[in-house]
Amino acid sequence: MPYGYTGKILHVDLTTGKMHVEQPLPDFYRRYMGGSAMGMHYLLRDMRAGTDPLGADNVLALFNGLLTGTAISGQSRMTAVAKSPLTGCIGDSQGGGFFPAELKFAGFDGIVLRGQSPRPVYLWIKDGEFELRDASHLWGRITGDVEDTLHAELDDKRVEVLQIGPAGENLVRYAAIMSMSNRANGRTGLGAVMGSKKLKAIAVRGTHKPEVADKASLLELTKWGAKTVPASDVAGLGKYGTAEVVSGQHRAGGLPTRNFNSGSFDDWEKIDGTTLYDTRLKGAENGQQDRFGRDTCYSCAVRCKRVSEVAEGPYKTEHRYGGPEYETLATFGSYCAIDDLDAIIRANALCNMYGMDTISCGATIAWAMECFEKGRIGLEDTGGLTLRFGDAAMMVKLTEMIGKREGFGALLAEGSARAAAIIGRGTDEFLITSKGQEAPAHMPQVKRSLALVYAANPFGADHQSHEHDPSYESYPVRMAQIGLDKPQEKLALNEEIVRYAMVTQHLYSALDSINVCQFVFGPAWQLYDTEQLAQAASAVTGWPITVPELLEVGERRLNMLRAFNAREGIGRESDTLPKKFMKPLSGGTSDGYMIDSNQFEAALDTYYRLCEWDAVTGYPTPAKLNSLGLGWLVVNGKPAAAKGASDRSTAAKKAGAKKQAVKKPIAKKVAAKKPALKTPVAKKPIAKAKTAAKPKPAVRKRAAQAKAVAKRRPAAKKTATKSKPAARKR
Amino acid sequence: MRVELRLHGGLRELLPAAARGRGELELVPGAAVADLLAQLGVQRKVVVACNDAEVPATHALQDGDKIAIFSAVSGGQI
Repeated sequence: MPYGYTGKILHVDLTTGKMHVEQPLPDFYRRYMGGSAMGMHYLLRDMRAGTDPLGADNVLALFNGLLTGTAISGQSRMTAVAKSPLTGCIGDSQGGGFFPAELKFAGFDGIVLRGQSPRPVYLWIKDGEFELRDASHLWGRITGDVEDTLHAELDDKRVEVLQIGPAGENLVRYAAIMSMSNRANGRTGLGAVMGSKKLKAIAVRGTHKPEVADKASLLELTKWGAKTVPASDVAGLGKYGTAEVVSGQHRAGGLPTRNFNSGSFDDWEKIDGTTLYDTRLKGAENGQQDRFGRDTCYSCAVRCKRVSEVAEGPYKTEHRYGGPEYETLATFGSYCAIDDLDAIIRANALCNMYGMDTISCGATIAWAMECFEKGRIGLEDTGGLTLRFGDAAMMVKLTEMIGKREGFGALLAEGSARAAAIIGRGTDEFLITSKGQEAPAHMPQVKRSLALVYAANPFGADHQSHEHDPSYESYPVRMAQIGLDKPQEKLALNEEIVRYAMVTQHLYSALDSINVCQFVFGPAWQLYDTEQLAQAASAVTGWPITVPELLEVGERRLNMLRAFNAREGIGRESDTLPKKFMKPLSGGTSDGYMIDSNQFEAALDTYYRLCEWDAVTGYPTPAKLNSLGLGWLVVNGKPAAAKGASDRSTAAKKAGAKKQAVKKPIAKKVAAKKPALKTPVAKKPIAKAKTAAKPKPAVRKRAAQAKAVAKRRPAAKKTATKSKPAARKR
Repeated sequence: MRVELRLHGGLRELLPAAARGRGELELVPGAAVADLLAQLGVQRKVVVACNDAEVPATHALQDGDKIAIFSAVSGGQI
């Protein structure tokens, strides 16, 4: 087993309740490293083309990363991948908090979920042991309540809970997967996938830190980061959160306003990060925001997360649901022309209670507001609701209606693209979607490489898939580390900007596979640069990981995402921008800015050529897939196209990871609902079962081999009802 | 000469906390934006607006100018 990893992946079939542990070979880890790439291996291997995203055959893979659980900042990240119910394309989303590290401490690099449970369940994992339990008592409840209930039920407040809210249960197509009741794997609707599987939550508790090959080097990097934060470009991010950029975005004409009709919002100061800090962070009344109003992910020195509260009034909100990020301030604020910070904080909290992506939710409401104002929808569509830009109360009301799928909210729960298709009447004119996913709050009209990446990104419009344009000129030393040394003029979309977009996309793709925070590691303004990332990855694993290898891992993952889409028949024809982006913006410093369609199409041609993809279809070529060690995705001399996945699955099993051991699950299937804290102790308590779970590195391999043999014994027929109190033994 | 300052975002840390990013600065006559940034101790990438118009570092300042300084919006998220 490589250093840094647990060497174990948990597979769960929710239909049958069967579970097993896979122990992949070291080559598997080196090839994918973790996160998105590792999850994609299973999706491509095990899913057929045409799978219903909300059906039993969708595979939902959750993976932490190579650095996860070590002490360095920015490492507690988890990627979720599955077919997206929002876009019908590959779905992919990252989240932070403490769950990712806790999952590794509990003994797993990832979880692969298949099937559909006949009734609500949750997965309980503790130090290498696992079971499915009944979750009927949790179904329908908001995230904070579920977290409290599980902490009480498991008698341990250190248990980390990954869960869906009512929106995921209600199959809102942009439902999120939540942890801590305020962190989200937000984009592409993977909470609805979890809901379709009737998996309410995953609770984890672990006590085993990952082994590190070169502790001294990692410690040096860790200390350097912590010491450097105050003088770095992420210092403001730490103090004011991502909300810090509201002012700069407005100034640049890049703050999407009134559903992307303008890049400037006159009332931006009311929703700015400094206003949030001064007035609504917990502790602001006593000047104690830095102590009480900032939160963090596991072992991170940046501490960028917001803890906001509204003490009174119609938008009264408790602090456990966190605080709005920049994207959220924009989507519920400037997108909707709303300057009421309390209303935005409330909408953010509702999204965290119900488990929804704040970007798609706010953007969908903004779309509906424009449709109403321009007469494309009316009271007969909205159930009598009048929608206007600037109506904060209506925005908050709609947010809750969406989470509950009530009334007009049920239509908006489909996402704006589907809603436009249902309504018709030219409402698609006001969409800001690519591949059906609503655009985040960075404007392609102002940062032109975003036009390319929003369109070509395999999982739809996304702002975290590459480095944005201004960094090319601003960070020349760091850019040179990844071979970029020809910064271009503002608003350029020429071959060099396309190359910049592609190379930084490969790097960001690697960040999502190694699974680190893009605020902490990256090619420009982040705390650590790319060479330091390679050093950290090398220190943890003992492998001599270089920057080119990181870029190749990222390129491999990007091609896996594209290959997934290719087999669904999704290629160039879906790499499009909304019509709205081709029309001039109005007002502010970006007045008149627009995307030129000819320039955009030429950039796409260049992009496919540089990516070595087919220029007509947009699919990865067999040669490219082979060069990345993805030959198992090539069928009959073609990239994995619309054919079923069964023959690829056979090839993949030959080339990829081997299922080495079948682990006996604690539970045979679904545990019966039991009275809290009064159940008899399991015959084999979880805690006792793992007393020898952390051998010294030198003996680890032998222990693993012995364990693999031992695990081949027949699974015990224990019932889950007996195993629940084990957590109390710690 | 004296200019009026408004520092946005994290840049307001360069002024006393109570000022919340607002203040005035005394500069030598003929000073340019680069001199102002140096005097403030600005080390990060910024955008400077003088009387609401974006200006380069070489821009010569005048007495009574209203200067706004913004963090440059750079990367994947910020």
